[in-house]
Amino acid sequence: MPQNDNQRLLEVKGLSKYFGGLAAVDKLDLEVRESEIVGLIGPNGAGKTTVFNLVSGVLKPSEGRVVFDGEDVTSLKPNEIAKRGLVRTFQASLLFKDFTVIQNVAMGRHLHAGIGFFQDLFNTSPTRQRRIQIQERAMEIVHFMGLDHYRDELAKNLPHGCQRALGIGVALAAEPKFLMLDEPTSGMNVEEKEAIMSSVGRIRERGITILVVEHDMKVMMGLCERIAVLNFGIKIAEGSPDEIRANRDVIQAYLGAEGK
Amino acid sequence: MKNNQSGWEKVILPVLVGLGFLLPLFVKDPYYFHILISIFIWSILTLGIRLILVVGHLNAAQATFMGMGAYTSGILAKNLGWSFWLGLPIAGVVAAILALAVGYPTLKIKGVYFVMVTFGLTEVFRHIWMMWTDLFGGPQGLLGIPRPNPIKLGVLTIAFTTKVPFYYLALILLLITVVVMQRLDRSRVGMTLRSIPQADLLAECIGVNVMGYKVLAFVIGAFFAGLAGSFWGHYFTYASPWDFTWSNSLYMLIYAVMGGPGSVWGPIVGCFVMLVVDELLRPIHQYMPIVLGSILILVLLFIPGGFITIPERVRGLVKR
Amino acid sequence: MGPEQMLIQTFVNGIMSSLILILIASGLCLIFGIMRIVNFAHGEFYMLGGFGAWILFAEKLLPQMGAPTVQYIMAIILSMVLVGLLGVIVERFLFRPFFGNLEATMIVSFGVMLILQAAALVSFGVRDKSFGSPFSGSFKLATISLSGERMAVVFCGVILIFAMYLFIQRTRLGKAMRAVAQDMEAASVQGINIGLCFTLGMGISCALAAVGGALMGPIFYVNPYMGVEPIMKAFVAVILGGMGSLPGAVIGGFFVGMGESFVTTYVGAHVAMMVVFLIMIGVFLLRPAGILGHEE
Repeated sequence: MPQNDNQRLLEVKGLSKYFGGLAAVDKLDLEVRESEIVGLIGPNGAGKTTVFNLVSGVLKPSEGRVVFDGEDVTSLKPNEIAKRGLVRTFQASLLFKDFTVIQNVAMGRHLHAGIGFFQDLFNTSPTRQRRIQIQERAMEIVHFMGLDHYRDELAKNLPHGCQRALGIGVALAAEPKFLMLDEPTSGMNVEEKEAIMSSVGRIRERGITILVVEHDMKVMMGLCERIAVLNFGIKIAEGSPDEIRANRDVIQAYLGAEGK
Repeated sequence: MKNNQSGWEKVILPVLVGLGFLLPLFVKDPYYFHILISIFIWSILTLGIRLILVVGHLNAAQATFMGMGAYTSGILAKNLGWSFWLGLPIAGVVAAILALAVGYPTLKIKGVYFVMVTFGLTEVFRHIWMMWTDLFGGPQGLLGIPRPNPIKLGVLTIAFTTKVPFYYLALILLLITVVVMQRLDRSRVGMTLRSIPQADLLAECIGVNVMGYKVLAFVIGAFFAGLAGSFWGHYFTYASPWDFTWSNSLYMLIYAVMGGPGSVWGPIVGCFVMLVVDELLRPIHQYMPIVLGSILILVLLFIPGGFITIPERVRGLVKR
Repeated sequence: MGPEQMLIQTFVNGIMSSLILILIASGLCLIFGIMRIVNFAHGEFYMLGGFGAWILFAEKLLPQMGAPTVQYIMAIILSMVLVGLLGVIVERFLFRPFFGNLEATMIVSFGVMLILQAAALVSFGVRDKSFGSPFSGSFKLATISLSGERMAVVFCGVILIFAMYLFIQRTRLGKAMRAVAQDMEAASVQGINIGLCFTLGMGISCALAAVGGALMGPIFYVNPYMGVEPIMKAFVAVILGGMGSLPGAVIGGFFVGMGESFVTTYVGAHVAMMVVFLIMIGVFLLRPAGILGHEE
């Protein structure tokens, strides 16, 4: 299998986060290589979102390091990490509620807008060109995520499934090398889940590496090449979907996994 | 929003501005110029406070930035003999620098507490100005600030001996402020500023330097407050700490909210309406805060977008 | 006055100041903790409490019932109740519509502040009103004499603070209010009447502030702006102690009250206020949660 020769894009070493006396994440080691789709699963409260927060710079780790694309990004701010190509989505539908769908995605183009401050103010000709480019690119992504119908709808008025899709669209607009999806299919029905799964597959085809947190086992098994399992902040297993499905510790942790 | 604005802006606005410039031909009573000057300067201050308001912070220190501007330009002119025309931009820059120094640590703080920190700051500065009598003139303030130096344009000399030159200066300063604020609103920077109160964590994670943007809005608002303060000092020929209290900042906030923080016109409308009402009610001026507070609460309850949204609402009602 | 006397006087002033601040700060704390509202108008309830007691006692609006001291006590109680009611009305009709919107409630409370201040100004005029003395005689503490009014502040202050402690910790309503402050959704699921907690919280807070004003009335004067400085200091006290923490308000109150008293006596009034605010700013920058607050 070619994956093993690829560059390690994300390396998490000994990552820990303590809240008071409690370890939300306990000495986590994790690697994601380029073009992989890796899954992170675990029961509620296992620390998956905390891991996301630590890697994306939203939380500072108590211990450990995060190395992205060869660079130690542990103490960087979220916007600096995003600049390096690591973008994440959120479990709750975190969107610019009073902006339209297309405006939300256009915001995602922030890092790649290419408009200088004063040029922006004076609305120069190159700026206007850039604005058109931003709109075009945003429209591409809106189409990619299947939200054409909702283009000018305010984000707060979108149905839940579309809000989740929009969240992914905004993250995509930032042109990530590495996309972290936090429960992308939460609250969705079967059709919507399949649409998202297919989108994620196509995102991967564009060469973007993906780390997904999910509760739905079917989605995970279908998408991921490799899965890591967290319980009480500790990684208890890691391997292919089949290996994980059969792992006793994992089954115990979930008290009867839904996996099929 | 853009389309409606453009219509109004392309026709009515130039007419208003034109009238503004031609006014001294029709009106001679200095009283009216004084009122308009106050409205223009308060509009500049209110526009400044509006910028950081839409990013989500209530800035109680805007009056302090104004004061910094007034004292800076006043001291430069009175003690060092510098020209007002040099002092004016310097006042803006000094206020901006103060905002930069203060903004970074304080804007990190959650909204509620930010009000209190800026409030505390305002009080600290007020006490400094009142204590440091040698430099700032103490409780009576800095007296004897010279009027702006006359401008020579060929054979014409514009001396600032009547209210009319001040009126034009205030009008021009306001126009500059409006243009800058409008450009900001319509640019990507403006859109980014508006995105922050909606979802600052999301903004941060797609690469927006949220703190940087907040500081930017804060500093720009302070710059214009500094300009306004400098004008104020040279117009009244004195700068008193009592003009730069947190309660003055509060009035700026209220005008911004009542007029409507959604656009640059809201704060101006707010200032215009309330300052006119203030004048009309001068015989019973003790009742003014009651009127102001009541209108504020009524606006918040029933016209949440401010006065500026009234035409929209009326249109909406008529359509049904 | 000898240095020893000055020290004792400063100390007593500090205690007095602290207790009054604690009364006001506790109210702010309750309102913020339960309703998540920053009530900038709180100083005006303090002021109205002072005026209420003044009208009832000094202006003799209350039917004569006995010794001046008794009159005074009746005046305080009645004033407290009336101002508490006013607070309840303000909360119900002006704050509650904006529940959840922190910015809006702050601005509304500014509006209320303006209205109440001006209303007092219009009704009573700007000049200080004197109270007359509700107490005869004085006490001697070490070498200084303390008037009855000052003793009353200490006495009532301590009792009220203690009473509030008992109420919050021991009664069912108090526990309900604490539950709402901790987690409103959970409390509502448990069947706690949130509206009642809001009403009570506001009522008690405003009543406490009113008592503060009524107690200070005979010592200084009453005027429409008497609430402006106390509320600034009370905010600092609350911030020092941690927003939402009642014990913190007590600690903060003592810190600010004693600190201000000593700095004022030994350095100067302006410097004292500056120090107070600089400390507040410092707390925000270094330890935003306050001394007893929790990191969110």
